[in-house]
Amino acid sequence: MKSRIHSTEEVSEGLAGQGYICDPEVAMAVFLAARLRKPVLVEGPPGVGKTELARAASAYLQAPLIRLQCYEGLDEARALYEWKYGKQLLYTQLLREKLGDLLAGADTLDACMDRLAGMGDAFYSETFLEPRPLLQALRSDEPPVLLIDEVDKADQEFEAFLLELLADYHISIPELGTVGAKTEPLVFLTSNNSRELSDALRRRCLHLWIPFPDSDLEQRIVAARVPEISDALRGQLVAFVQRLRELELKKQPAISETLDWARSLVLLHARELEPELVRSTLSLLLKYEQDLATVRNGLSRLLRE
Amino acid sequence: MPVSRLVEFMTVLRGAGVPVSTAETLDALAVAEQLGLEDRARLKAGLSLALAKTGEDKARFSECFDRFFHFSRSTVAPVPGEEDESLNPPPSPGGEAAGEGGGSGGQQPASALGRMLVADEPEELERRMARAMDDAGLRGIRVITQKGLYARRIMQGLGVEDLDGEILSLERDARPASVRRARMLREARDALRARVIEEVNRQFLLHARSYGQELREQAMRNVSLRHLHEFDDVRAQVERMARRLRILHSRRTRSARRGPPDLRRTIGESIRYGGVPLALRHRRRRRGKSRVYVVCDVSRSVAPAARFLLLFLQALHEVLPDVRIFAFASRFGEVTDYFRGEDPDRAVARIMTNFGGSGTDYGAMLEDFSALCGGELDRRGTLIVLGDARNNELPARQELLREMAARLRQVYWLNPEATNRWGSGDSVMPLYLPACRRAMSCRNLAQLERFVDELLSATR
Repeated sequence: MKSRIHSTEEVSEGLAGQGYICDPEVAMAVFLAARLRKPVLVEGPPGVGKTELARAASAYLQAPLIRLQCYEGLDEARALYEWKYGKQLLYTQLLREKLGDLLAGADTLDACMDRLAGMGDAFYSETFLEPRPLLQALRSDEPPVLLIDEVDKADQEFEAFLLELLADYHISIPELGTVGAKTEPLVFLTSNNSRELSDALRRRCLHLWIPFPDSDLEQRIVAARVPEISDALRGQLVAFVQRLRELELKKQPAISETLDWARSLVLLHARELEPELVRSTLSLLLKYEQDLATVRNGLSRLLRE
Repeated sequence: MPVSRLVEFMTVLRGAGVPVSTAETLDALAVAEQLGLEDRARLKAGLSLALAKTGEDKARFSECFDRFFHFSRSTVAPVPGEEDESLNPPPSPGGEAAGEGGGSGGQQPASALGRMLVADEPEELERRMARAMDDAGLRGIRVITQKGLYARRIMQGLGVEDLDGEILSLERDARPASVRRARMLREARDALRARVIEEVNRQFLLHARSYGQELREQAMRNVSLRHLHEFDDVRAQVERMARRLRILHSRRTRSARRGPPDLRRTIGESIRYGGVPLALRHRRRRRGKSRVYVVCDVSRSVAPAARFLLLFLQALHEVLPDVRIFAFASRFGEVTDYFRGEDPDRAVARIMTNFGGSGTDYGAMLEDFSALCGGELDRRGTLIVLGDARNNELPARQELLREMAARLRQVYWLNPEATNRWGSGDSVMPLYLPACRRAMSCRNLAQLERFVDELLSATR
C-alpha cells in the first residue's frame, strides 16, 4: 500500500488515474480513512459507484482488494473462518496406522489419552483453518483494502459481530484466541439502506454519502469511462439522463446505467440522440416497465428541452 | 479557532438533533488536526464525514456549521467589507459636519461608543461586541422572551448610555451642526442595535434550540392528546418516537440461532464424511408473522387519540407489516386501504369525515367485527380496541369479545379516559376488562409510546 498520502487533491488525481472521477468529498473520505485508519461507511442510491470506489481505491493505493459480499444468513463461518472438515477427516484416515503405532505401548485408556494430549492440538491448528475474507484481511502481510459490500443485507447479529473488527481491527476465534491485524486494513462498507443500520455501526465509521452526480461531474465520468464518445453526443446524453432523474420514476437511472447506455450508443455509431434510437435503447436506462411507459409517453418533450 | 470552539460546536450539533457521541467528538478533533482549521470548506467536508451519519443529519450539520462559524469568521479574520459600511455611518455627513461647523463640528464625540462608531475601526468594534456578548452571558440564552433583555444588556455593555446622553444633549443644542451630528450618531446607534439584535437572534437559534427542543418534547409527550394539535411539529415528534421504537424492535424473523437438532439434515450431510455425523445440524426457528387488528372509535371524544395511534402504526409499518384497521362511530368499516399511498394525516382526516359521528354502540361494533373477521381469527392475531367504552346504555355484548379473545393471541384495550373514570356513567369498561390481556389509559404521547413498545414486544 502506498505509505503516505499528503493531500486530498493527490487522492482525487490518483482515483482519476484509475478511471474513477469523483467530487472532492469522496476524495476527502478516502484521504481521512487512510490517515486516521477509520472504516468508511458509503451510502447512496444504487449504481452511483460505491463498490467501484473501493476497487479504485485499492488500485490507487496498490493494495490487494478483499471483498465480502453480505447476504441474509451470512455467518461467521462464511465471513471469518471455517475448519477444513474434509481435510481433518482425510488426515485422520491417513494417519490411522501411525496413530495406532504411537498408541501401541499404552495399555490403559488413561495412558492413551495422555499420549494424545502430548501430541498437541494437531487437528485444530492453523493447517486446518480455512480463512474467509475477514480473516484474510487481518492476516494479510501488506495492508489490504477490505470491502464489506451491502452490509445492510446481512442480519443484525452479523452487524454486531463486525463491531469488534471495525473498532480495533481484531477478532476473537474461540479455538485460537484473539487475532489482531498484522497490518490495519482500509475498510469500506457499502449500504443501500434496505435496513436501517445500527447507531453503533455508524458511530465507528466515517460516513460518506454519494448522491447522483451533477451534470458536470457526470460528463467527466462518461468522458473518462467511454472515451470513444463524441463531445456533442456526450453532452446530449448526460443532459437527457439528468432530466430523467427529475421525473417521478420507480428507479432512477444511475451512473452505471448512463455508462452502459453511452457504450451501446457508441457501438451503434450514433452521432446524436434521435427519438427512434432513444426509444429502442431506453431499456438500458430504465429497468421497470412502468418507468419505460412514462418516459416513452413524454419522450419528444424530454428530447426537445 | 481553539479546540474548545469545536467542542462547543458539537454541543450545538447535539442541540440540533444530530447525535454526536464522545467517540465521534474525538474523531472530529482528529479530522480537524489532519485538515487544519484554516480552510473552512475542507473542514466542513471533513467534519461532515465524521459527525453526520445519515442523510438528514448531513443537512442539519451543514446548516449548523454555517450558522455557528458565521460570527467567528469576522472575529478571527475581520474582513472589512460590506459589514462595516452598513455599520458605520457613511463618512460624508461626519466630514460635512466637520467642514461646516468649523470649531465645534470637528470635535470627537464625547462618549467612548460614539468615538468608536465614528472612527472607522470595525475590528475594534467587533472585539468590543464579542466581549459585551460574553459579559452578558449570551450563551445562556434559553427562551425567546429573553432576547430583548440580552440585547439591552449587550448595548449597555457597549456603553450605549453615555451615547444616548450625548445624543440628547446635542439635540437640545439647537445649532444645525449639532443637530446633524445628533442625527448621525442616532443612525449609527440604531444600526449597531440592529446588528446586536441579529446576533442575539442567531445565538438564540443556536443555543436555545437544544434546550427548547427538550422542553417541547417533554411538553408534547405529556400534554393531553386532545390539545396536541396545537403543536405544529407533532408529526415529526411522532415519527421520531416511532423511529426509536422501530430500531429497537427491528424485524428479526430468525429467533435464537438454533432450534432443536435436525436429524434429517445431520444424516443427509454425514454422507459427505462417509456416514460419520460430523456436524450436528439444527432446525431453524422462524417466527410466525403476527397479524394486528385495530378497531378505532372515531367519535369526537376519542378521535384525537385515534389519530395518533394510527399515525404511530403507520410509521411502524416496517416492523408491523400486517395491520388491518377498522373504524366505527356512526357506522363500522375497514379503513386499511385509506392508507395505501396516501399521506397518513390526510387519510386520517378522510376516515374522520366518513365514519365520524356520535352515539357509539360497542356491542354492534363487536358484532360487525366478528361477522367480518371472525372466521380468520387465530393465535397469530392481536386485537387492539381504542375507545372510551361509553355505550349509551346499549347492550355491551362482552361475551363476543371474550369469545374472540379466546381464539386470538391477545386483546388490548386503549381507553382515552383516566382509569378512575372507567365504569362511571354509561361506561361499560369493567365488562370488557376480563377479556383483555391489558387495558391501559392512553391520554398522551408518552402513554401511547409505552403501549406501542409493549405491543411490539408482544406481537413477535
